[in-house]
Amino acid sequence: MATLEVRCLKTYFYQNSSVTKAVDGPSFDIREKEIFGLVGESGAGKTLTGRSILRLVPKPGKIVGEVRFKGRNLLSLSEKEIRKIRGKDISAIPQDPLSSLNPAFKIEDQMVDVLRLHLALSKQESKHRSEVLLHQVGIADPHSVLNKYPHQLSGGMSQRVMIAIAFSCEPTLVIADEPTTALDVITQLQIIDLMRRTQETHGTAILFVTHNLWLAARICSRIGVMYAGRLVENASVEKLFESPRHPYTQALLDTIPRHDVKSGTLPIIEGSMPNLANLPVGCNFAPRCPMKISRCLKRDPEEMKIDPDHKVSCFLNTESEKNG
Amino acid sequence: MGRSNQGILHANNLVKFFEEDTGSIVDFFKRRKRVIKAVDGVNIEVPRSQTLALVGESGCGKSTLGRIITTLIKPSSGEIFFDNKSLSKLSRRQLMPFQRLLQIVFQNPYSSLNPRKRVGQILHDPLILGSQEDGQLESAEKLLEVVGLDSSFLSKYPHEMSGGQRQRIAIARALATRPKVIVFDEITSALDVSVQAQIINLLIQLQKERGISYVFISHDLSVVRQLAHQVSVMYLGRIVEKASADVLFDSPKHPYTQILLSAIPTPNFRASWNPFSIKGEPPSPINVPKGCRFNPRCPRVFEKCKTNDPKMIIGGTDHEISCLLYK
Repeated sequence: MATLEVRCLKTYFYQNSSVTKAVDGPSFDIREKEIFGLVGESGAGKTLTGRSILRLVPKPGKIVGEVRFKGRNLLSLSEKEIRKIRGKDISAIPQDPLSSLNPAFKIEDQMVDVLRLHLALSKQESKHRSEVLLHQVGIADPHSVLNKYPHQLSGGMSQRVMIAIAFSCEPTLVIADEPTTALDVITQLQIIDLMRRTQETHGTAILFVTHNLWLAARICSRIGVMYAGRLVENASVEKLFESPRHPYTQALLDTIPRHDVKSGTLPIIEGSMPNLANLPVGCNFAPRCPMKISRCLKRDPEEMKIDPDHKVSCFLNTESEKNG
Repeated sequence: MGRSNQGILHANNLVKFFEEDTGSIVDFFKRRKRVIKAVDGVNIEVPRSQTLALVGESGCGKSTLGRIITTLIKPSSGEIFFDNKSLSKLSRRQLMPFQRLLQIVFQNPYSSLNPRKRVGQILHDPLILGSQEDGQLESAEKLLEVVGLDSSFLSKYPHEMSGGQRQRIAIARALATRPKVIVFDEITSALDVSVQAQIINLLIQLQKERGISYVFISHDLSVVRQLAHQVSVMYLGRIVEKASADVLFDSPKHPYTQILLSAIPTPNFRASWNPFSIKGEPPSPINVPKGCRFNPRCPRVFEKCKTNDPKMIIGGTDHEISCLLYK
């Protein structure tokens, strides 16, 4: 059973006469207790996909499609109903913890707020629970951290606080948007380790948005690759890294340096991502694709199943299927 | 130090302490200040036409070091030599001809390019400086071509370009003065992976063509692996290990380097990933721990580490470590 089913999610921004198709129809499932990775370059729509699930899209953005969670379509709920879900059943860990914490309030106030709202705890109870939560995320002295303002904490420390807040109401799903991008490798490791342990003890599913493919390979069970608002490939980690089927995924895997291999010059992906307000006809990746065929410039490839754990949107795979 | 130096730029015993008010009124009247030991006794040598990488966590002093060796800030003590000429006792005016040869490219091209100037204007003055090399004025068009942009960019403003294009302009501006050494301070960290590969390739190609020496400051060891010939690992204002890139990546000796390398994920998802765990956060450069600076977080700490400050020792060909384990 999937915890979350996303079907044909579209987040468009209507401005003057142009339409920016930031998220353009990805469909995917997040299974129970799994870490599902969403990877791609900036501007691919991964962050907005995460935010669209919680309906946290700025104006003039419009979300259509279906996001099924516990039998309900989140997109058709009233504002009051979705607010009960945000932070409780589905919570978020942001990229930049310092700009997500309110600078004018102490950590204590910000943690207690969430607990009182969603779990209806008393002030005393929620303060006690906050201390326990901070202790669980490896903060040695929760009492003093609770009394601090966000600017008094380091990046790693405030990300720990964000994780404590995100897991505070025992959510079913956590949307982690590049939670370690702003951090050092050693702090990144500590935070990832913490997220995995917390996820295991709580049995939470995580949507892990990142541009770090190697990190995704290490912690996710399945990964979706996004390009220009589309989900171009969706597979288990083994399939994606050992037999990537989309030319973009293949190019991405080649172009990212790894510290254990000296490659000399790196293979590059020519060109840049298309303007989302002015997408090319046909496949979005076709203008940069080294393997494009005439069909790619005319029609949009549909998502096809290669096997139960591997979906890809590319014409090349239909060809190979027919020939093979 | 009596040994002859092959490197184009070297520095001995560099120290940079910043002073800061403590915020306490008593300290203010007693003129007591808080001292931040950003760089605390560092020797470096930049190899000719090669790349020296400075790596370490944020706050370890690597950016400060980059600014000191490009003479943007003055060290509290220590000496810098360019081509075996000391720069430390020169006046500002005497320094100017050297500054043309020592360029720096910053992390964020959004803030290091003047938003009110077109690319042509940005490149104009540095190009004139560069003509001091041989009296020939290089054209801006040609320079743009070198960094992979066409001449239409000359009339563009920084805001009209993407992050990768802006970083190329910043590189072109550094190249314009025809430097011998360029310091790159975290230049790829704001870029996307596909753009990052393009910039790495550009740097490798430029070094081959022009024989410029690089100091590449980065915390991204995957990028460092592609570019560096020599690597120095910094921790809390000190260099704890230095070696040629292959030696450092294949057989790191200092516990800190070992942890740093094991913390980077690789795509070998089938092999287990058991990075060394490390506790706590890096101590602040205001309160430097006694003994070895790494001892409070070191997994292999022993008694002596808490009292003795290790010196740099030779740990093999082209390999120096500052760790008491190897005495």
